[in-house]
Amino acid sequence: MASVAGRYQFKIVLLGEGCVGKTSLVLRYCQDKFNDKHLTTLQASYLTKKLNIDGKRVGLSIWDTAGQERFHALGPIYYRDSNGAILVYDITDEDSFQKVKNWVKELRKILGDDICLCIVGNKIDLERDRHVDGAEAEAYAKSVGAKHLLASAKLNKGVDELFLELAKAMVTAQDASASNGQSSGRRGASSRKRGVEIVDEQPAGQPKKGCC
Amino acid sequence: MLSTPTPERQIRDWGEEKEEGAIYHVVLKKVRYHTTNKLPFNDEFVSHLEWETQKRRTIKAGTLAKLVEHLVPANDHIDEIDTGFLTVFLTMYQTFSSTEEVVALLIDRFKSVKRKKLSSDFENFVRVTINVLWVWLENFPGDFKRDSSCKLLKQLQTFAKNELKGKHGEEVLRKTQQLLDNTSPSHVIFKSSDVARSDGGESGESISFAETWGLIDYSPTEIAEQLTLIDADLFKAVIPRDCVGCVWSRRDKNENKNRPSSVKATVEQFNAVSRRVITTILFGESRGSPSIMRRAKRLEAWIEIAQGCRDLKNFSSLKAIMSALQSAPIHRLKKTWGSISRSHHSSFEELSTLVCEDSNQQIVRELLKKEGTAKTVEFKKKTSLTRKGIHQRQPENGYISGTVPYLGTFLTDLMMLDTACPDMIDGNLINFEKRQKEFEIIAQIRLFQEAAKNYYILPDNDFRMWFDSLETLTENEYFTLSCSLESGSLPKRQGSLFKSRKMKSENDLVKASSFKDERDGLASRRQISHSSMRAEGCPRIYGCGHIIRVSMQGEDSCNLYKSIWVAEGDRTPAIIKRSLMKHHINGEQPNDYTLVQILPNGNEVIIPRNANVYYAMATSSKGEALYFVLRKDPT
Repeated sequence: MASVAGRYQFKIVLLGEGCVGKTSLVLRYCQDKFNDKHLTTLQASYLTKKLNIDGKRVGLSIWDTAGQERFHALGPIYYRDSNGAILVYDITDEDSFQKVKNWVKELRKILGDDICLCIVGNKIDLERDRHVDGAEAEAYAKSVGAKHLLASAKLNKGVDELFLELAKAMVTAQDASASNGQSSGRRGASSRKRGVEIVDEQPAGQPKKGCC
Repeated sequence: MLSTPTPERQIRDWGEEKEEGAIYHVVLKKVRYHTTNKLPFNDEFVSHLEWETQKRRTIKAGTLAKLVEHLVPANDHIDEIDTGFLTVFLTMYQTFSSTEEVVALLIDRFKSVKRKKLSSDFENFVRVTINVLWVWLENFPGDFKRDSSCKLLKQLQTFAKNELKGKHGEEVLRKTQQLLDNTSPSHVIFKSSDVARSDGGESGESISFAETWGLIDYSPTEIAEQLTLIDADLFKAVIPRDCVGCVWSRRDKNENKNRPSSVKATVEQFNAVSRRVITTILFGESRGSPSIMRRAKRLEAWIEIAQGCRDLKNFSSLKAIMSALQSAPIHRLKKTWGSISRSHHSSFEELSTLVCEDSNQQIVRELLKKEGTAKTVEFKKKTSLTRKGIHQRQPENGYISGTVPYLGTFLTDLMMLDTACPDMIDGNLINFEKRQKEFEIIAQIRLFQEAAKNYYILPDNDFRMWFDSLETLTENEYFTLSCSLESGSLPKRQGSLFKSRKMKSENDLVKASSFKDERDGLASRRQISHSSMRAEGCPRIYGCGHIIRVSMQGEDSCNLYKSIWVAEGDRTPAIIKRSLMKHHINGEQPNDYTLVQILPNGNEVIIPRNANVYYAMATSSKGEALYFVLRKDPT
């Protein structure tokens, strides 16, 4: 389980077409650790952030692979073991919304309902060029069990909110699955194993080792 | 000269200096001079200046004019010419300006310095200007070749003739002439057609060839070598400047659409490798049902090829193969994974740590730092694959090998930089510091491009043809196919799929190193199109199914077939519709067509209008390919 001693550790992936502003959103969110000084040693496709939600300590590791969108085969490597996904589209670009739908389909197919999804319409500062219907996006998100939020990385609007919303959803999902006692198959981000996992058949509910 | 300045580490940050249109970063540098009294004839100690403090200015941001001024400073700062700046500027200026603009500014600047006598040492100023032009023409000739009328080159030539006298000036003149003489378009550095035939395989030659594939045999090492050769060629052809965030990310919608991008070729090859890994594992003899054993052997073979790539320091194909093995359609085949040998398993585990994304690909970054530009490779540890003779690597004490890094790492770094740093600061000043940082990453790419030259592998055209002729499907189709091979409920979570530790003893499975006899059916006469079925939605039933080959009646017999996945429950109209889509025939009604199966003996079976195709068609136990023709009904 991802929570050990009241501590939650989640992995979030950012997905979406190039140019929709995925990176801007993360950089905004993690700004405090992302000032100019860090830029020389920059290499930030992996950022972390700590949160406190209703007294619960939550650690987020955020994976952004901007620039690698066209390496199609990479998807599974990135989203494997993730607890949440932020699917970003650009409200001025219909295609980018289409791409989000594809991602949702794939994630649901591979990860089922175990992953919390948050669909984000970015660039609301360009509202007058909007090409994606807000109500439609909202309805779509609802139909696939995802949250829908609007944001502007440029104006720093809605950024904290979307990560917070997603974090809350992940906490809820985690708590629910823990109380159901059905957590044997569920692996939190704390399991750092990559690739094929060979796990011995073991009784459900046995505590998993280690948390980072 | 008895004394030479030695740069020391004593650099003090002096802060920023602002002037109209520019921001500089100033450091004070203590420069120590020391005697070179080690010369045999010089035993005396000559007194000299021991050290002094020099002011060094680097430009952080500025207007274009100011940047050009920094390139060719007038007297005041003549001692502090920043040679590094020249390279960075010439590499990066296109992100904020154009060749025309910079040339014009350089000439203007020269003229105004001359006219206003701004420089006390005008000769030196001329030398600096010549140097800039010469370095530019020598190292970035492509910049001047873009306009076919050669207006810029002629302009520079006139300028050199009139203003830049002397021996060095003539060098510039000669250089421009050389470029003018050589303006054939073939001089474009990047030749995508030569190196990147990643999705080809349309020629008649490869058709007949693919059919005789079974006669040829490649070992994993050979495949790894050939993949490496392709990757190295593509990587060397990458124009580092194309990788910069703002260039690469710009959506391909408008002007960039047909621009040959050297980056794109690498990405396409990466995707092509991944797809073919999946294809070779999922496709059987002639039909879509290879046995578990066969799949396991192919899986093992690819793990060995991945290991081969690792040994060759080809991190590009290594990543492509590893991501294919971890892709949903392959990753979920738990029976297959359960059937591979223990040593392959551990090898796979080891390799996946190399390509994992944890902590920003730290492991592979460090590895690159350590081995990337070293020419020799040492095998300190023997990996498990060397045991049992599965894969006889030669652990020589280091041999010459190049490196191909995974390009995506740099693309992400550059994208991050592009997002994190603004293009302009203080309103109208070009943020040159950003370009400096981008340049540092580009310089790394260049370094690796040099390293990529250290491969000595002979190209094998047969391999290339085989590679190109392998069929590929869309991701959805792969997934459906995979589900038909090994059913099982859809995973709740992928990690939980691999619960069985039952592994076959190695003896059952050794010597999986050859693809021999497995290629029939992998090679197709024509590569399947990627026209997506996504819009249609894939059949929801993850049961059994067959791949059938559908060609259009009237079109050059069955040479132009498309592979269609027929799942249990697929009705005739759906199959016809899918076939039409794959053949790019739009706007036709499925009802106007009849689906006909061509049996091996030449007989035909007409599939009824609304049949369940899976059950309606004839299948043979021998596993021969299933050929179909789509016939348009006479109206």
